[in-house]
Amino acid sequence: MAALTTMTAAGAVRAAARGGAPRARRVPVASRSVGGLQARPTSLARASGKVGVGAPAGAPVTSAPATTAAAAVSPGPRFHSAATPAARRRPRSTPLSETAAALPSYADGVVTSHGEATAPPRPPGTPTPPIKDYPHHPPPRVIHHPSAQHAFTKFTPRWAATPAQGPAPLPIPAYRLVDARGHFVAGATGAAGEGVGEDNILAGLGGRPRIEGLFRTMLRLREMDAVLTSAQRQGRVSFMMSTAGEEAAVIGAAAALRPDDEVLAQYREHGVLLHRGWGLAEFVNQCVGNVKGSCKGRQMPIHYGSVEHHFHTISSTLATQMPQAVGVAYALKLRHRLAAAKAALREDNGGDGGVGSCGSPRGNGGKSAPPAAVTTAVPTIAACFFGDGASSEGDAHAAFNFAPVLGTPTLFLCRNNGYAISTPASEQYASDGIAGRGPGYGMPAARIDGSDLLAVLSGIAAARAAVATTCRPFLVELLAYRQNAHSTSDDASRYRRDGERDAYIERADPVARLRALLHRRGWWMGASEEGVWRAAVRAEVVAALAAAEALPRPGWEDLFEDVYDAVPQGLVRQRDELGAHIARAVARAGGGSSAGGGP
Amino acid sequence: MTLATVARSVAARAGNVWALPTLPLLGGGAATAVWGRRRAALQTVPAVNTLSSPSAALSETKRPAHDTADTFDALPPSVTLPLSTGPLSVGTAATGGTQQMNLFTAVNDALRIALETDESAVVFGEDVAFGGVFRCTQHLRDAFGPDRVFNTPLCEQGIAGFGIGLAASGVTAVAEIQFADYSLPAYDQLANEAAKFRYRSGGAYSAGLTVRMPCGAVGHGGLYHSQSPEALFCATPGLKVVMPRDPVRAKGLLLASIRDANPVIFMEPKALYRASVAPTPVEDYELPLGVAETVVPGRDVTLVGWGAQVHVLVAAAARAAAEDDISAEVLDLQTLCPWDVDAVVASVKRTGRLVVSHEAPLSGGLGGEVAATVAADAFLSLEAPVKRVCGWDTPFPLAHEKYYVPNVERCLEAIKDVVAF
Repeated sequence: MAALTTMTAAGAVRAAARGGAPRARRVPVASRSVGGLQARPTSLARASGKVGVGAPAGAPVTSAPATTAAAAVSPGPRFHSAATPAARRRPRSTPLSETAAALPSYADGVVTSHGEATAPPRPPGTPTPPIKDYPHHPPPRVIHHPSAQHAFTKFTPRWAATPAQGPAPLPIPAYRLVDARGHFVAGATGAAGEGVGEDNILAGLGGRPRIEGLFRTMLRLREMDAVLTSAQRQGRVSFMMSTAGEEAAVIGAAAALRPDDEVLAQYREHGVLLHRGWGLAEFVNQCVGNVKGSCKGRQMPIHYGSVEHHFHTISSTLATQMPQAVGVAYALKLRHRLAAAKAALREDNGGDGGVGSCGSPRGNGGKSAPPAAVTTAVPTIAACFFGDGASSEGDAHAAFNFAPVLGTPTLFLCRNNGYAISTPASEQYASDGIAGRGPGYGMPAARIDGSDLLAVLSGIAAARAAVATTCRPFLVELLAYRQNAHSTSDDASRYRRDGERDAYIERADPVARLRALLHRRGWWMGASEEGVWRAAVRAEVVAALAAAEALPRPGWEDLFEDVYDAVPQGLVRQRDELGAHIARAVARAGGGSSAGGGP
Repeated sequence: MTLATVARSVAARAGNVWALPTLPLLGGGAATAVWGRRRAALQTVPAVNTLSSPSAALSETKRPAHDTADTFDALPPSVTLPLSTGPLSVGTAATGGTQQMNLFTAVNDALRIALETDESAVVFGEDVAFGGVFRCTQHLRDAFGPDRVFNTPLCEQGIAGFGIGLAASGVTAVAEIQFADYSLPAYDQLANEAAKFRYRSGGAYSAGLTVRMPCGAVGHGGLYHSQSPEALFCATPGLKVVMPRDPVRAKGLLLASIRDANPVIFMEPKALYRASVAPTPVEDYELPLGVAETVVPGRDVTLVGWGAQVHVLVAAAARAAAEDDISAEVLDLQTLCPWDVDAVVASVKRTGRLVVSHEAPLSGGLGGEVAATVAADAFLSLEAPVKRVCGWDTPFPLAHEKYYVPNVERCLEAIKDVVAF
């Protein structure tokens, strides 16, 4: 937003002094760069695209869900918005200019964002840009080729990490509601319209039943991870990864999403499946690799996936899921737009009015022919988890760029747990974390304390609402601490300082923090009951594991299935060759059990 | 203009709404299109006729002028393809006949039919919106709108990953990589994700996207506009790899690839985009994947190739017949993965000799796979060692391209060698 304009505050002052013609598109003064620091919008409404930032006071607000509307009046968390369409949206009454109408439109429904070249009326004496090279040019979502919209004689590099260039902008702050001791921070404000203060926020987030339920899910996840890690140590499972320290980030995100939002995860987000009701048997069947395992014993443990639970099957390759999430989101948008277009076609053909698209502004006061327009809102989105290490992959850049350019409802959720195996974040990037990259790509971004379940719930709900209503991407960085080693194949003591883990557990253990809050509110089940409950979960996992181990592994013939939709000629030959070999081996062994280990 | 239309256009110009691109979005096939791939009935002409009649009718009115220009009365009444599985007739009078097309207009025609018959189909890639650097996507954006035919940022791994996401969501994704030489940034997405998606998810998910990419020598392409990296993709179980040799094959194979449930790498020999012209069926037809074609029947030696190299082999076969009275059989694999082992082995068992030829470098090329398979399956029929005529194991040169490509002279030498062995 402010920091993204190609004009610095000082430049604006100079421009004003020169007194040129009115600038075509302006960012309101309130959100401009001031003194080299970012002046940040304080309302979610700007990020979620519900209110035109440039609109005059009292301008009509498009129909908005109650929660979002409430957010517009409360000082919410600080979202770092890129130049979102909302920021450039003109009042609804402004006619489409000839120039804009002649412009090509691009794939994301940019008809709107390109069709707004006409400036809103502005008071006389408003400072204007000194040079406007391309009068026909649409307002920049980003700087368009062949140059910036404005040129200056002075070389003005943006801040980079060299002291010579002056003080760095403040890092994007992390959104927090509850501190390490379970107390609400001063001025705590819900991000998704929950209001201000402990009681309002807790009520807005669903109150005791929901928070307590999520606490139990977090405990369940921790216990399941612990049992399966022990099972790995016993050789019963080949590999395991633990969520410890990131339960709030994962479970909170899962809870803030719709259950049918498509999730493309990295590998440490199985809490989403747990929250969505995937059974313990499903988990352990996959880990053991038996015939009932979701990937038929073909992948290492934790590579879960379920179409019914909208959870794309994990692959070990890092960040590949990120551009895929843009494609999944584009598919959601395309399907939605197509349905809306068809409904409109029926309407035009004298149908009964059809079903409007989600959130479509229908009522125009008349009894017939409601406006058959589709809002930018989409019912479901694609949520993409990735880690701080994955954010360095080329695929991350591809996704960060594709999503805003193609206008897809993709929610990027970075679990920044401080380590990529052993590489600390300080050796992973020199930027302002991951969130700092969002505006550079033309995408709003926010940072959330990922150890604070309530902040995760509220913040991601707000970000999800922004994605769903604007049909544009949003980048969320969740700060958490990976308490255990990367995996059971890793030994974190070789690269972590003594005491570091303990210090972070004391400061940022999501389970302990939520327990402290529940305890303070009188909602906690109590130490003894929690112990009993957790022991019961452990027993449940152990029993599920034993049952999974009793099931057979997939037969050897399955090796050749699912490479293609049908087994091709050449593979049939190879399958026959292996079959003949197995038969001979079995015969040599005296007709004992199958060499393939199959049923 | 109905009231609803007015209301929609007004609403579209207001803040938080999209313009509704009704007809462009739905495309010309609005009345008949379905969401998702539906395989056209294969091979039997009446069935194809029944299924494709709406689009065939549309194509009469929508076909751009450029390919009707050279229509002349010598067009054959239909095209019969000598597939290894038996002859297949397409483009009969009953199904709309044929029109003169070159390879890029045939690709364009196939894409248009795919977009018309499947409302979920999308076509995207670098510079695709204006028609593409080889004009394969021209007119499509006008006909189907910017939601379904669009540019992407310049990033091959992004294009592939994005397409996989689309395909995994049930969208028929047709991606374009501008040159096969630039497919390598996308190789991770294609080899580790697209190829393995069905397998690794136990059949729950799949990513049956189609990735089109121009490939092969073009006379002045040098290192980075000439390569034929088909062997990389053939070495990746889960992918199908297809390379057509002319407009008739390009259209039928591309439609089959787009409608295939598996990820398909569709490589288009760029030298043939304009050079290869043929009467091409107007109808919506598919040629089966995994089936080779006997381009020239013969007795003495089997020549196996694909893409532009088939034309070189046909010319070499003609020279061999004229000069040494050698009867060479030319096979076009068409689908390189999975390739038609039975057809090649059956042919070599009849001729007793094999020359396999491709532009890609000798070592690690698909020719080695063909040779090894024939050596294993037709060993007792072989009268001579299998000969490979391929690009050298060097980068693709610029000034020395004529020495690099396996041209007619080199192929002819190989034919004479194996026959004289």
